[in-house]
Amino acid sequence: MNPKSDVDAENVIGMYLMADVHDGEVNRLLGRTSSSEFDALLGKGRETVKSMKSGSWSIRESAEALGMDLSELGRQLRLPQDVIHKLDLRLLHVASLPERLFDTLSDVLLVPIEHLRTYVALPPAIPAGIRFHAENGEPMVVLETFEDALLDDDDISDDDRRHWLEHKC
Amino acid sequence: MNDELAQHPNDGKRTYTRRPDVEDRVRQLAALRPAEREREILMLCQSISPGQHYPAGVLELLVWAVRHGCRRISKAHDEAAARLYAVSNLVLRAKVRRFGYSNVESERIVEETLTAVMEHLLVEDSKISFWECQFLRCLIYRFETISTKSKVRRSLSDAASLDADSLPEVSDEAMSVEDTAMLRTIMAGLSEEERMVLYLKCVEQLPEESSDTSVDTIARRLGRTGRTVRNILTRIRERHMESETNQ
Repeated sequence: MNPKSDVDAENVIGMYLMADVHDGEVNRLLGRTSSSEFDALLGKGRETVKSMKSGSWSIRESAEALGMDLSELGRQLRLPQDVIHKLDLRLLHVASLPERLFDTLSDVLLVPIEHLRTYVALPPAIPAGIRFHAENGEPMVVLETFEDALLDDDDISDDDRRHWLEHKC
Repeated sequence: MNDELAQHPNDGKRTYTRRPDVEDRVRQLAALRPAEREREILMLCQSISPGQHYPAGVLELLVWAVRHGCRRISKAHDEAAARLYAVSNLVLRAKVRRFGYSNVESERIVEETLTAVMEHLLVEDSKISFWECQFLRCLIYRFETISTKSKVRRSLSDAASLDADSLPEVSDEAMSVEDTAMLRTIMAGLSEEERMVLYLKCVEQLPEESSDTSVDTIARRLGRTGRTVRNILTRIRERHMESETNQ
């Protein structure tokens, strides 16, 4: 090999060695990165993950995957099963849903709050029974407010009703 | 014991095994109830943060979490995938700097690699086995594949001959003074056989071994077994890791 080739070979070998990466290097890189830089990377990561996700999801399925049925979820949220069912089918006015419902649901289901907001804002999932009775085209679905749903429900205790209606935020 | 957890068939011929401590942790997590498991995974994510000592093996655990350990729509899934993205981003940027690419090209290679990695992690039916055992190594393999393609694209657009591109494009500026010094130290510490193995691997780009007798391999050239060749390469890597850690 001529001296030029020697240098090339050495550089190539060096690149091979330096391309190898190991846990110690990750530690050093994290040590050199500031919190704000890392947060920016995490934010970008979250956006990327979000954009790559698809597929169906529902409150019921999510709860079931954690070993809860709707009545157990209702117990944890202090809401009747029927109201959760309506929420899951997006039959409640989004604007009427209190902020702390999203917080609590996100904590109980361990699901990102943004995902819940996006989900409840989708068009209503029309129940099979209503579809069956539809005569021409798509049936009209009358959305209820969260408040009305609670007032109309007999399965909620006065205490729980007060819990949700007295401090709506 | 669930042996499917320990071994990961890759191509039907080879299986990969996790580090024992990672394997134990996966088993512990798998035994938890889903809600508890996701909470544990969220806590695990916090261990990958600036200023914290990164516990080795967490990346592989997070790959397992993303693939099998949590529901696809959950805080734990999002957070684990985002941490893997952030660490991959840091590692790739550090690597690409050493290869002397232009800023635009570096950016493109990093982005392309990240997209490929995230698709690999998040797309349901992709093969994932090795990523759960050796995340960083897989990341670098993916990076090398993409940067090689980029190099070929560049040489095609320059209308240059591909033969001239058979050696990686490096310039003296591609490596920092510290890198060069470190490289010299490593090279000086290699035995004649180790140098030869590295030369055949990196410059002549021969495979370590092959069952096809018509293929030229490092093992055949040196009259050694494939296993010995791999051991030599591992030894060199370990020495390199040690010198980097001591730096």
